Amino acid sequence: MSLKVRNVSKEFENRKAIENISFSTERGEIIGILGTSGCGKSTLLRAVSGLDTSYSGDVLLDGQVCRHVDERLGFIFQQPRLMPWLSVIENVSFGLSGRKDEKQKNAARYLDLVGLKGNESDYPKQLSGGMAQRVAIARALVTSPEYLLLDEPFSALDAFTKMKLQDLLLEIWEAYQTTILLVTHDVEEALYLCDRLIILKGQPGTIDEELLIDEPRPRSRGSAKLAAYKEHILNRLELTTPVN
Amino acid sequence: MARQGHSEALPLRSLEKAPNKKKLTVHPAIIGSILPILLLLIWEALSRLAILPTYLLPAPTVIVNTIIELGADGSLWGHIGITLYRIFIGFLLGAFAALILGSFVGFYRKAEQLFDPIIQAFRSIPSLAWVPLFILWMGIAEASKVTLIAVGVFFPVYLNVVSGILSVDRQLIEVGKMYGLSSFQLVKRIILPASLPSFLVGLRSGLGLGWMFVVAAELMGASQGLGYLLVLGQNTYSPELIIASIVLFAVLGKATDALLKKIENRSLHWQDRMEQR
Repeated sequence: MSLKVRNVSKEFENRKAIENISFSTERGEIIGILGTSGCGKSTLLRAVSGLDTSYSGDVLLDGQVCRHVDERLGFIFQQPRLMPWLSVIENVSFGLSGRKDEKQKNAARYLDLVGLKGNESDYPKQLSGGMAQRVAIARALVTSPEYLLLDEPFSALDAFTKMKLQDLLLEIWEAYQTTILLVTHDVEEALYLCDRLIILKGQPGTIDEELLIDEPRPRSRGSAKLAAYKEHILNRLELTTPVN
Repeated sequence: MARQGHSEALPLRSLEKAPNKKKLTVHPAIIGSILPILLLLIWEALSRLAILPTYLLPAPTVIVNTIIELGADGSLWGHIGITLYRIFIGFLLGAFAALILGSFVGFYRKAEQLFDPIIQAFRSIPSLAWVPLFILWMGIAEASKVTLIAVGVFFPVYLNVVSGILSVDRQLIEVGKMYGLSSFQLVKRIILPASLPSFLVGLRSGLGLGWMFVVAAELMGASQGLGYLLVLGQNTYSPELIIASIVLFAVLGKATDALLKKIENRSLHWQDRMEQR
């Protein structure tokens, strides 16, 4: 039960986006892929997801090379990407097959989990950004994926909604022990959520550092230890201005 | 000082507006019908006072009477029936052909490269230019009329189907791909519903053109139909018959469009649109 990325590189029309990325995850781990914009974080995640197959190197799922979308993987995008013509419950059950009433029952359970019980028959146009992203989370969870890939899932939300959904993600993780791969540019988010951070840097993006976040959960957003990590990361990314 | 004045002005203005707004809530249909009713009254009066030459522009009541008489002797229903029949068949044929060909061109790039140039070339022919050829080929019976209407309906529907499919959000298709949907399932579950709004817009403008072409088709030679009444009115110097026919065209055109609009609203209730707010 592991996800392994081996020497993955990707080139867009003569411009390299990522080069030689390798890492592996352990079961139930939350891995953050952190980097400034343009370093190829999303490119990497799309390669892992199988949505993009024109990369070199391998992605191994439970020890086997996997170059296509797989039902063991769930993907949560930056935008909710709900089907506007489907009601909330139909959106959640979108990826399920089988009998309608069973699909609905299953979807209702996950809708309850993300705190949207009672909104089953709403349409996406009636939802706020945070609610829509909750639906998207439920939609990704309903097929019980073993790995959850998240591409800056909370970056379009306001600060309070963002914190709530981060906690929701941790609850889900605790309940299902899903292995999570989270792409983000938000250092605080990465430190609050992840067990391990992979810091991408440069163009093309390469792994600059793998950082184990040694802080037990539940974490406090304002903890001094996390602040020290943050300082370290900002230095690595050369984002702090020199003092003198 | 100036700043204070400004901050006071804001709540004041909103206070003033509230009661004004309440007074102005008249149903929009009433406002919209003021001008037509006024015009009709003036027209009626001018005709009655013989200021307008009635042999050119008869009074509205005369026109209404003409319609009632046509209805009473039963011939009206035949005219309306055959016109509706022609437009219905032509519309179905044109829209169906456009849906099939448009979907094909929208889905397959190769099909687009193959078909689109020739379809665009045909589109630049004014459709009425086909009339003589259709008459030569199919005579002046129903076939040539229905074909002409179908040609008119085809292009707007085709264009909208193609652009609807091409503009489906790639992000939504990715969601489908993430769940391992096959091409057929992607079409059925994402592309079709996502391009439905565009298709319905195409149907409505196609229907509008259909009405235009049914008039052309019936003008070119018919023994029955609303368009035939236009010709009959011209030949028998009866402007009331012409105007009656025009009025009937307007009513029927509006009614069929309203029907499509209703279908549109019902199937697109999920859209987040300006007019629904």
